[in-house]
Amino acid sequence: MARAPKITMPRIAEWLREGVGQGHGEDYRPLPFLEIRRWNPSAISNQVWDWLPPFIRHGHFWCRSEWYLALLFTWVGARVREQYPLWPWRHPHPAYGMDQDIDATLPWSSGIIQICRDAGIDHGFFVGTRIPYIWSLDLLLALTWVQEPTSGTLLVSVKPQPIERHLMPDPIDRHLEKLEIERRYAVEIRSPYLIATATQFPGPLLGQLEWLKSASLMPQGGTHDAILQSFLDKYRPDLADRPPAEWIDLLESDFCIERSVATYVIQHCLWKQYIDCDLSKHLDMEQPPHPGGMALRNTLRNYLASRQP
Amino acid sequence: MSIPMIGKVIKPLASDALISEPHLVLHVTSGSANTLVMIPMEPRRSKERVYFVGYSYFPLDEAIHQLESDNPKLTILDFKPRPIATLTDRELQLRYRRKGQRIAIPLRKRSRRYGLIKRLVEDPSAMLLFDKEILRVKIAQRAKERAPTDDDIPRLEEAIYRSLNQYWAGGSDRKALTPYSDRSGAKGKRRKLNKKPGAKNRPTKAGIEGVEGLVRSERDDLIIRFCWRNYVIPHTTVASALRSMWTDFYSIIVVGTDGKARSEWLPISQRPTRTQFERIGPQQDQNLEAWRIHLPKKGYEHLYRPLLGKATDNIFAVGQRGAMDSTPADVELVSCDSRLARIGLSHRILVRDSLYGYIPGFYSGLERPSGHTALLAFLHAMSPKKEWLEDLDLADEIPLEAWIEIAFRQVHADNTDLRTEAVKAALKRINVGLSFVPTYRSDLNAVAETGHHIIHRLGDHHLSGSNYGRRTQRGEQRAEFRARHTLRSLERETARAVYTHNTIELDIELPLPMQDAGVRKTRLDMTRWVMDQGKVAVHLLDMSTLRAEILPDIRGTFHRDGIRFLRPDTGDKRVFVPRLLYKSNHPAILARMAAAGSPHRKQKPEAFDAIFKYHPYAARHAWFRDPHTLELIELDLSTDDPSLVHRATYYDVIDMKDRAGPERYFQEDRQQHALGKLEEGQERANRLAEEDYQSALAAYGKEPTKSEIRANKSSNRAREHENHCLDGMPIRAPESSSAPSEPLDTDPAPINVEQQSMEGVDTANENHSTSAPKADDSIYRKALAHRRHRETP
Repeated sequence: MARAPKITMPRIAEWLREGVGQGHGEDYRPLPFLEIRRWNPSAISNQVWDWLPPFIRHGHFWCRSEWYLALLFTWVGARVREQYPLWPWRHPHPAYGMDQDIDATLPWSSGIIQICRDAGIDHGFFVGTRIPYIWSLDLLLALTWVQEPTSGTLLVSVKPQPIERHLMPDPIDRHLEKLEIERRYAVEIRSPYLIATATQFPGPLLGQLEWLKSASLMPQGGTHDAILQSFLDKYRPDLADRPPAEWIDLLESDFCIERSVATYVIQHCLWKQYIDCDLSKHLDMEQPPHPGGMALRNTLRNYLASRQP
Repeated sequence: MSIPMIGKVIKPLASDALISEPHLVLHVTSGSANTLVMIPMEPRRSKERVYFVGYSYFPLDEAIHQLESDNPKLTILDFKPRPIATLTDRELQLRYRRKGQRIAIPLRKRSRRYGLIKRLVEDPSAMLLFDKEILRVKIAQRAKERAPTDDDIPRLEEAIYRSLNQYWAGGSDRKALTPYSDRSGAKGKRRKLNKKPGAKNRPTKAGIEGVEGLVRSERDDLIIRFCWRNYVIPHTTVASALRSMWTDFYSIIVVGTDGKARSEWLPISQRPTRTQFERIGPQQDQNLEAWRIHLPKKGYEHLYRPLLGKATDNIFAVGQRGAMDSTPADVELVSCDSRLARIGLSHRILVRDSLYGYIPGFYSGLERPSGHTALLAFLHAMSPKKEWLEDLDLADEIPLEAWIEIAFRQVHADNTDLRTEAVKAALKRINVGLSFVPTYRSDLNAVAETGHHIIHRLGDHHLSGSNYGRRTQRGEQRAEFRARHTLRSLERETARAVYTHNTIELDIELPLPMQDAGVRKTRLDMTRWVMDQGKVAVHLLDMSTLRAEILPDIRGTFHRDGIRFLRPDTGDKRVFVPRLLYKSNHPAILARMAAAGSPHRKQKPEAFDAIFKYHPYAARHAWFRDPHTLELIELDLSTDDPSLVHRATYYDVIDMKDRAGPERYFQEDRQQHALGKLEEGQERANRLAEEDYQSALAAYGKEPTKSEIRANKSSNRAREHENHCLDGMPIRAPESSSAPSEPLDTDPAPINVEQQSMEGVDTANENHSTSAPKADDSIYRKALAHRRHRETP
């Protein structure tokens, strides 16, 4: 049985040199002890290890709620970094490194030790050591449609509340303290903060996004892309009145492609909302799609962008 | 078109929306008035006072615009009253009337408030109240009517305003005027304590102040209950648990004069007493009953927790999520090369689709569950099954169409086989994700677990050697004594059981579209129908890529006659996997075979080693990835025993060799015996031949010269052929003859060397009696008789 890595300062220094918790997009890597490994199964949650478009990097999500929310925010257009480290010491804004021209204007955090000290909350150490613990944030979103980098960085804490927590509360549980520190951290770096759970969103939306995710990537300028563009040019005005199953038949017959490829192209259409389709409702492939998917996506975008620091 | 309707709720979605909180629509005036009258639904709270604000006017066109655009800032919701505002008078009376009261307070308040505004809101011209000027006049008029004195008018006006606002914000319903009694203290609500309850302690009785004891807060109760649950365990006393609690939760860190930190308890009056500990500790929760408290950890979660969903919730497509788990097959097995040799149980990994439970593939083998076997099961689910069915001799019995190849995009598993870095590395290359159930919660992987039960019942428990998934019962013959099946036959039976599982009619109600389409109630048909609809998690990876990424590696070496694999379990020692030879006419393979077989090669054999991909349970093919072109080249099996692919797995082949080790030892001894016997006979024959020759030589008198030996060779050969051979073969006399019919010819032989071999012999043995058979040819008879005589010991 694998063991947890022993945390030492040299090891942390090595992680920092390797760029752990610092990159963006494909280059990002969470803290090694928060990656899903053999030694760290969860006692209460379904852990998920899966990739999120547009990257092929596999993310480490410590509960299914985190996974679903990350998927939803990705669909909306955000770039997700999971298990983002909140370093104990002074460190730059999470958006640092995305655009060198604005790096100098971004606020710095004084570090979680200082924030904890100000809040009168115990920071804590790695078990059995005197090395300050490295706090982490469940999800950190880069809202690509928001110009301002600080308000375009949204901190998300995913907090499910199992029944047991209500029935048998645990005094060692530090959730409230943790949320307060995260809130203060967000205030300090002038970024908005959100507490969420997947149950706030319709199940069909999350499930269908999970299904369609496998068709979310399509190389620009490739064969499939060309087929898709031709198909949309030809049929776009009529598609809203036709069932998706018929779209697949049209593609298959008009472009002489395999059914699996046609299915892939149509699923990509649905993911990208090239044809307006409300994914929060159960998608019946034999019926014309319910419109409202684009409005839903925009609503979510507005909601995320309207969060105040 | 989205138009705000009276009685609907408008909720903001953006910070720059028309409103900042949910409002209820009271009145809509389109046209030139273009007015929307709305009132905030939530009350304001100030100094423990709860009140509602009045309505406001908004531009209707702007509201419609914000509702309708592709980028909506407002949304319309249904109105939902407060729970207490749905209670009837009778229900309020039953619920809130206390002893000594004739009418419950909430009901009395509601009636009184409604009495204030009844005439206003029930008036046919009530709609005019949405004009603020008219509202002000009407309220003033009403207050004047109700006020006993003029001094009471302002108070009444304010009360009417408040009641009207509450009435409108609550959906223009009389019940909306119900006070917030449900938020007042009630059963289960914690009482605020100002001093320690209970009897005073002795110092307090004695008049000492400041030591009254801990006034418990909610947090203190939480700590006490937690410590009672976790510290009062077998082999500890309540007192020691109490001390542990004081140390962990009621102490401070003090640095001593020696510089060392130690924890020190708080003063006794700031810690819970033992009485408090014993009283509060067992009160885990008022909602929890005794059975619930005494359940083991996770027992409640496992057995009694209300189920808010299923493992298949949010699954909409085939292949969206697969469930995988391993289990031992409930059948004791025998070896395929010796049915008397028991080999124990095998392992099985099922891969099941989460949508309808269809099983597209599995692993069945001797190897323990590991990332390696899990990947094989995963690959099996994605692979075409034609050759596999042929290998199992099931091609005629199970139609190929009954098997659907499913490439899962996410696999749900417990924290065992799939939770390895090797599996993650392989799945990452083909863009597949993983999810893991919590520890000790395999019940959350219900799709796979129920699959095990079904296959056990359908297949295993009907086979000879089944242990029925339980211990042997008294009087029952042990499973290993009943073992008859080999690993391969178990795989065959598992395939049959899975086929039945997939195609058996289910006792379910189909969704209406499926009923319309005439879909049969089988997992296969339902799954296929959904796939035909386009609800399948797509992947565009070809089998070649999947094989390259998932199949295990094995080292092999090129030979002139093909490719042989090296056993992976022998370390540096190069031992070939027996009986399996792979070939391909691909130019890249032929070039390597030619180079390895060249007599002029200068490299060691290791130079022709390469890494191959193999399928341990389908030996018919292997694959080689050309490092230059990255092409995955398929290799075909060439073996002297074609039945191997039907009866044995790759491991069986290796196992056969190992199992044959002791037998081979004795076999080699028998070979030596046979060779020794042969050589012994040859030596004796040589000796006799030499004796004959020497006799003939003695009769001849001298050593023939070289020219004499070479002379007449052709004529001698022709005479031999003519006299003693039939079809060039020596004439064989019948063995049943026993006695000679005439005396031996003892004439001296001529000195002709041509005749020495036969006639000379006769001369040399003229006195010997013999049992040669009677034959037409006297020379032949003589020679044969002579030989028999000599060979008699």
